[in-house]
Formats: sequence, C-alpha cells, structure tokens
Amino acid sequence: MTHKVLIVDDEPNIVISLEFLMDQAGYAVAVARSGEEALAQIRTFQPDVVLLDVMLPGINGFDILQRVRQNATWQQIAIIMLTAKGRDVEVAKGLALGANAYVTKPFSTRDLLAEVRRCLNTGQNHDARPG
Amino acid sequence: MTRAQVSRLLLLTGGAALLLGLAVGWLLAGMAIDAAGAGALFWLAAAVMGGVAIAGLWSVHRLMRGFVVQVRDLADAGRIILAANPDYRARGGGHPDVAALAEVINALGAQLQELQQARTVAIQQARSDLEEERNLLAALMAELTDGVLVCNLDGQILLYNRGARALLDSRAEAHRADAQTGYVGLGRSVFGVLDRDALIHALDQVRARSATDDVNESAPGGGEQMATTSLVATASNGRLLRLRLAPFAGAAGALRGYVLTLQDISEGIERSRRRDVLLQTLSERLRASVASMRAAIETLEQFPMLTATQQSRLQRVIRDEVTALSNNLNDTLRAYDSDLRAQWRLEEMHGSDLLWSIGRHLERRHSVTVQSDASDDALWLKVDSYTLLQGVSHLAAALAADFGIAALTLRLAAYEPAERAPGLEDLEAVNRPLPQANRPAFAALDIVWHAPGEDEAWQRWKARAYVVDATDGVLTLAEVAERHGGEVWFQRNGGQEVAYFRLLLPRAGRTDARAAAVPAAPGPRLGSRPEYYDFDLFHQPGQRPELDERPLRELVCTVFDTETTGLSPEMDAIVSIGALRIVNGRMLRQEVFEQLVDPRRPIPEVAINVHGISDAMVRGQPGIEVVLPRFHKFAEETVLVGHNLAFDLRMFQVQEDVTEVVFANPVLDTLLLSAVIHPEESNHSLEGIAMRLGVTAAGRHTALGDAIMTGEVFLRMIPLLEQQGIVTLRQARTAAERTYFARLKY
Repeated sequence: MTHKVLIVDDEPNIVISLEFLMDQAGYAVAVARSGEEALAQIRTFQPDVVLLDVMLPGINGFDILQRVRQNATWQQIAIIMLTAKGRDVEVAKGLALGANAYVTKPFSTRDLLAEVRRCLNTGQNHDARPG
Repeated sequence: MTRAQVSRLLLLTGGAALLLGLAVGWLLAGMAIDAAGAGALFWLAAAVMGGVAIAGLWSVHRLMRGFVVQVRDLADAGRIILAANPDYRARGGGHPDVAALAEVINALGAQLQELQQARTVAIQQARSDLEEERNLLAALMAELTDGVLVCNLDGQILLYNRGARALLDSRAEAHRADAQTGYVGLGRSVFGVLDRDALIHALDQVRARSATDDVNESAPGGGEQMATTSLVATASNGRLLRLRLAPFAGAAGALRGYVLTLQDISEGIERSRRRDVLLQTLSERLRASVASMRAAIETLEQFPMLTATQQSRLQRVIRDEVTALSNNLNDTLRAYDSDLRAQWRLEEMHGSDLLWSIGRHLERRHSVTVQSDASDDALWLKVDSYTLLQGVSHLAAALAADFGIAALTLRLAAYEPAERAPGLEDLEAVNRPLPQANRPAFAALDIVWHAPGEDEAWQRWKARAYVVDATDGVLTLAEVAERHGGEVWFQRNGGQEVAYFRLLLPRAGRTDARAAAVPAAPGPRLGSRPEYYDFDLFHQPGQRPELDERPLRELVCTVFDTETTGLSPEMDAIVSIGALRIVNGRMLRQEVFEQLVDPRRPIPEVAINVHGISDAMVRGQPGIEVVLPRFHKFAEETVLVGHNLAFDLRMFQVQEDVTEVVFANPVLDTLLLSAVIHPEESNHSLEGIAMRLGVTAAGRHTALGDAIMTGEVFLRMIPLLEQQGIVTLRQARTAAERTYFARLKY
C-alpha cells in the first residue's frame, strides 16, 4: 500500500524538489500552497504524513498543526514541521503543539526522507493502521 | 595666666612688701625716738624691713610654684574638658584653694558630660526620622540598575549609588600600572571619572535653557521644571556612557547642583558592531558559495558532454558549497539571535514574586480571583515585568468581557523541551532533544481558566484575543512573548474543560545539568545599601584657591599612614599604605585605601616586630611604582592628614623618579597641631595625644589602624584649635609652621 505525503509550502522552488524527492521514494504526493488549502487537502487527500511550513498565507502552520491535533479523526497523521523558523522557542512550540518532528531549513534531503520513514514506521507500529 | 601677667604680679607683691616694711620701720622708729637709743632702733627696723621683704619674696615664689602653675594646669584641663574630652578630669592635690577649684571644675565637667549625653540622646531621637528617610532614599538608589550621581556645581560628588560605582570605578583593574582612572567617592570631583568638557557643556546648555525659561516665566506653569539634557561621554575607565543631567535648584531657585544618571552603552555599541561583523561575514561567504555553485551549474548545463568523473566532481562542488552554506547560516543566525534578544532590558525576577505581582494586579484591576501555583521556588526569570503585566492584564480583560470569566490560575514551572509538556495528556508528541547543547533555558508561565464548550469556538476566539486585537495600543501576549525572545501558544484540554495560554519566558542565567537545580540568579540582594551619602556637602564651596580659607571642619581630607622597612627614608622602603577619607568632619570608613607593597628587599626582624608584615605577606603584591600612583589618585584634590607625615612624604619624594607622581596636596600634621594645642606637653606621640583626647586605640601598627587613629585625633583637635582662633586651613597651617620652627629652636 502506498503511503501518502502532503507538502504544505508556498515556495514553489522548494516544492519542486520535495515533490520529486517524495515521488522517487515511492509515496503518493499532494501539494498545498496555503493554510486553507492544506486543511482542505487533509480532509480529502487523507495523507499519512504532512510536511508543514509555518509561514503560510492565511492560517499559519502552527494553527494547522493545532487543528489537526484537536480533531479526533486525524490523530494518526504524522506532522513534520519544515520551516525556516529555527529558534529554540519555536521548536519548543511546534513540539508542544504536537508535531512529530521539527526540521529547520536548510535541511539535508536524506535526513528528511529518514524522518518521513521514521514517522511512518512509528505510526504503523502504534496502531497497525492499514494504509 | 601668661608669663607677663605673672611677672607683673611678682613685681607688685614685692613692691607692696617693701612699702609695708618701710612703713613698719618708720612707725617703730618714730615710736622709739624718745624711749631708747635711736641707733639700735634703726637696725631693728632695718632687720624687720629686710625680713618682711624676704618673706614677701619667698611667699611670692611659693605662690608662683605651687599656685600659678597649678592654676595653669587647671586651665588646660578645663579647656580639654570643654572642647575635646568631657571625660577628662583635672588633677587634685596641691594648694587647698586650687584643689577646691579643681573640684569645682571637675564637677562642672561632670555636669557638662551629663548634659552632652542628654543632648546626644535627644539628637539621636531627632535623627531617627531623618535617618529613615535617608535609608528609604538609599534603598531606592541601590535598587536602580542605572548609575546615579549627585554633584554640586563644582562637580563634587555628594551622593552616588552602587550602579554608578560599578560603571565608573576601576579599582578592579587598578593593578595595571597606568592609574589613569579615577575613584568615585564623596567629596571627590566628578571630573576625575567623567569627561570634564562634556559635563560642562551640558551644564551650560541647561543653564542657557533655564535662563530662557526665566524670561518666559510669565507663562503659566513655566519655570517650575528645570530643563534636563542628555549626552554621551567617555568615562575615565574607557566606558562609553549615556548621561542624563537633571539640574536641581536650592530654596531660592538658584541652580545648586545636578543629578546624573548613567547608562553603559558600550555594550550596545559592541553588540551592533558584532552584528555588523556577522552580516558582513555572512554576505561574503554567501557570495563565495553562490559563485562556486553557479559556476558549477552553468558548466554542467553548457557542457552536456562532460565525462562522468568531471560531472561528479562538479556535483560535489555544489554539494560541499551547500553544506558549508547551511552550516554558516545556522551558526550566524544563532549568534545573531542572541544579540537580538538581549536588546530588551530584562530584569531578573524571582518567579513567585512575578506570580504574586501579576495576581495582585489582576485582582485589583479586573476583580479576578487568582490562584497561583509556582512549583519551583528556586526559579528566577529574566523579564520585563511591566510589559508582562500589561499583556496578562489585557488577556484577563478579554476573558472577562467575552466569557465572564472571573477566576484564573497562574502556573509557573521550568520548561524542559526534551520532556513531555505537562498537561498534554491527550497528545502523542514525540519530542526530541533540541540540536544545541548550550541553549538558553525557559520557564513556562501558564494562564489557566475553566473553558467549557466547543473547541472550535475557543480556537477562533484566541486568534482574536491575543494576536490581532492590538489597535488601541494594548500589548498582546504575542508581543510580550516577542519582547522576551519567547513564544506563546494556546492549548485546550477538552476533556477537562480547561484552556490556557502558555508563555515561554527566559530564565535568568544559563542552565546546564548541574546548575539546573540551583537558582542561576543571585539571591535577594541583602544589605544593598549605598552607605555613601553626605548631604552636608551641599554647602561645600569650590576647589583650590578658596581651599585655604575653608574651615577645617569642612575639609575633604585623606588621612593616611605608612609602614616601612625602617626609619630612613633614603635607605628604607614602604611595605604598606593605609588611608581613609574625612568629609565634613566625618570619617568615612568605607572609603578606604589599604594596600601592601612589595619593598623588593628583605624586611628586617625589628620592623616585622613593629608592624607584623613579613616577607611572605608582601610577595606577589604590587610594587611602589604601582601603588603610589594609585594612592596619589585616591588622595587627589584632598588635604593630606598624617602624624609626623613629613617622614611619609619624604618616603614618597625619594620614590618620585620611579613613581612619577608628586604629592602637592596641602598637608596637616597632627604632631605639629598637638604642639599648637598643648605647648607645655612634651609627649606628642600618637598614643600620647590619643590618650589625652580620649581616643581609644584599635588595630594599631597597621597602616590603616594608625590612619584611623590619626583621623580620630585630628577630628577631636578641631574644636581645640577653634578655641585658639584657628579655624581655617590657612590658619592651621600657619600655626603648625610656627610651632615647627619653635620646636626647631629647642
């Protein structure tokens, strides 16, 4: 079963690489370019992993994170914050609000892929959810 | 009784006796003319006359020795009792009349003593109120983080606080031989520590402005507030300071002095310099990396026919550059971040104090019941408490207005991001340790309330309540967090119907594993009093030329003593200097100079027996070429007071070539002054004088101990000198000079 990854970022340049990268790793990929679009995609696309930027037009990444975590049906979704906001307190906030991982830009693609894989494995082990 | 008076009395008594003898002789002769032989009678008369004359002369001599000298001693005793030492008592014995007089004087002395004691008690009572006000002011000043100096128009320091001393003093660095730096002390010149021209310029500005204000005095409400001005000046220790100068007026409205507040801006300038360097480095590296990558990519594009080896080499270039750039960026931003965060003036505050003050404010202002919960009593924060109060206050107002919430809980705990955040039972957060090891520590301040209802509704509300609603100049929690370099977020536990805002605030000091348990900040500052005030200095006039005409009581003196390796200024060396300051007739025991000196030669046993300073004690101490310039600076613009200080000054003089300092201060020698006061006494040793004037010895034969004793003696001499009409510095110096030459003649 193919895992689904949602990329939420408003910078097209990084989206190109991320999309290519996830596709090559064998995941089904969808892209959202704003906060509202992201929430809609989560509802319809039902991703296993969300790569979530903080600085977005409309609802920001922290808010999306919080909404996902407060929705009982979305508890299994792994959320990886992928952002240029790299201060300690911002990392702390992201983790406190329920992110599974916090990756700051710039990042190594290999590390990111490893993180995605780890999140998927953790999710699988926890609830043996069929993809 | 003077010598002239005594001789006049002598002559008078002798003459009277002679006349008496003649009269008796003549009477007897007249009576005997008709009775017996005139010749025999004449001789009898002559014998009687002679006898009477001799008896008269002898009794006058007795009178002189037994009576006049005793009376003179009595007068001396009386003078001492009256002016210096009411405990002193006249010696009894001698002529019965003199003894009776001595008793009367002693009785008067006892009464004087009683009266003085009663007066002292009354004064002490009256003073306690004043003291209380002073302490209040002192405590206020001590708590200010800015430096505060109060000066009179001549630039003499009347008052200073700890902050000012920390900014201006450089005693810590004074071991360096340059000694170009000054001291902060009462009565010292502010120009010793701050740039004179800058201050005078600022003062002129203020004067000019208040002059124009006077012209516009007719305007209602004008002229009450004097103009203030600010300036940037360099302290003599090299710090760059922002000064704020606020003049103050006396009762008559004339300018009397000014208050200076000092802020160190060298740190800020240093920070922006660092930031410049960072940005510079960053952009340079960016250019270099981008250039390499661009070249590599363009080569790859332009030459599709490259061999696999060539291609992979170019690709490695790009990868290496990107890695380097990523690292660079991370490092730079991290450094920049800490510089940015330090910009706000954050104060160290005890966690429970913060909760208490927020709680009290909310209860008073918003009638909100507040429950406080500080789990960790050793938690210190670095906060701008006022900003924080405003932010929380705003939130409480919004909660009350929108939901009628009248009860809040404040929760404060150290925040450990590596652990699972408390109160998030329903979240499956896989928190991992943060990348940096040596990062600033945070505490979480939670503002908690009972929040029933739909989650969605609360989410919508919080966006409005704490982020957007800042139009009327109210501080939101988001802004508060930003100013603290922290973060804020909203969380709700739907099951327990509890919601809270969590504010991450920086903790004071850094935490590593060991320090985490210990409060990183200093505890409450105990005894934080600036002992350093003397408002009487307000009445002190200017420097140099007037100095001579100034009363001894109002002088700023440095009383000092030295210990040496021996008694020859030419052959021996100084091993210790002790000094302290006398201002307005008070010895300031906290303005002290005490320093051992390495004489760079063995100290003889004899000398060690006197002062107890051994070779081991002076090892590693600075030499005279370091210490004497420092002492010179300490004594600058004061009158030097010492006992037999000619010896010490000669010691200093011998060293002039090495130390390059000349002591040109006016001097007062307690030895000579003692001779002025008690010319009949032969013992003018420091101990002898001290005993006469009722000064008890403490810690003698240390330089500082002797300096203190000399100071006490000097202070007690002032009223005795005044009795002789010696009031000013010039009069004292002239009198001392006279005795000196008088002593030379003996």
